[in-house]
Amino acid sequence: MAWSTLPTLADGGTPTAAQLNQYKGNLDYLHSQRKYNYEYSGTTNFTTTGTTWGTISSDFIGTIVTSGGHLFALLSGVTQQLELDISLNGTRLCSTAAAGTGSLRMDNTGYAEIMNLPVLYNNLAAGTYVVAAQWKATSGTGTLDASYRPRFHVREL
Amino acid sequence: MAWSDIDEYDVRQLMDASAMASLKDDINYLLAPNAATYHHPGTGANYTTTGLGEDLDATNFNLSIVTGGGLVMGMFYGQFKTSVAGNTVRATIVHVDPISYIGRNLFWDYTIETASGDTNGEPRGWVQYFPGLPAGTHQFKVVWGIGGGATGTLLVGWRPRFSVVEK
Repeated sequence: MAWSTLPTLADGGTPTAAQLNQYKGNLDYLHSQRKYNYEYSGTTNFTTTGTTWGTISSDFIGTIVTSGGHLFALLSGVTQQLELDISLNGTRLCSTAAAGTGSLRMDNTGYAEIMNLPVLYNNLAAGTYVVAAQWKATSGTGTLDASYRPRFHVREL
Repeated sequence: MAWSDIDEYDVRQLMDASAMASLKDDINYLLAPNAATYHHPGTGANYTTTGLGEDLDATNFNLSIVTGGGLVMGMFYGQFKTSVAGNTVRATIVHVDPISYIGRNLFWDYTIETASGDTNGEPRGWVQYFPGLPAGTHQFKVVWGIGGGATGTLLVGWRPRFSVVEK
């Protein structure tokens, strides 16, 4: 199902079935929602010792084809010694800040705490968007704890 | 683009161009409802507070959108710290109306907190829903506070971000 540009109808005319079905099609499109959901259910922690930015795994990458509008992304998990960010078509949210900085950082060692990164991308043009969770270690081994089922959610909003 | 109320149809009423245009506009609005975002550039002084229920930034973390009467979703993330470990810095998003604007001064009515005194503080990100708002212009602010004579800080280097969207 695809979004279509609705016709402008004039007084005195009779809308065709095809025209009215475009209205129906767009309502169905809005209801169906383009989205990507991932919830990890394994038992092995995600870990990294990398100090440069990279993706967590292919499961933390969502590709959404939009018809124009907003994208909402949410990365959540329990972490330690990690910096997290989200990229849109390869550009991290925080890429224009101080070199290497992410959007959120958890330095704590020996215990993990929750990190939520909710992001709204406003008024994107119609197209294909690759949204990816990115990470790097702040020191030692950065950990995304499996027992709290980290999640990555992307949807057209 | 704005949401508009569509008149109810009567039996045997002929659709006119105006009615169909309203339907078209509302469908288009649902694809891209009104929204606003402020993304801090990541430079300049950190934000600090020693008070309760203060605006985080009355200019920038202060967003208004025109809604058609739907639910508004607000979201924020940032890196918070306190000058005295154990004295919690807290924050929330308020809808600026006569109730919640006063309610922002209730220090316990906050959404997140951290007692971290670490150099880089701790991250906090959250989503808040605002249901039941009538159609019109609505203003939302991030407010925060800290007690016990400590200083709360929001570190700007991680580019805190605030968004609101009708959905």
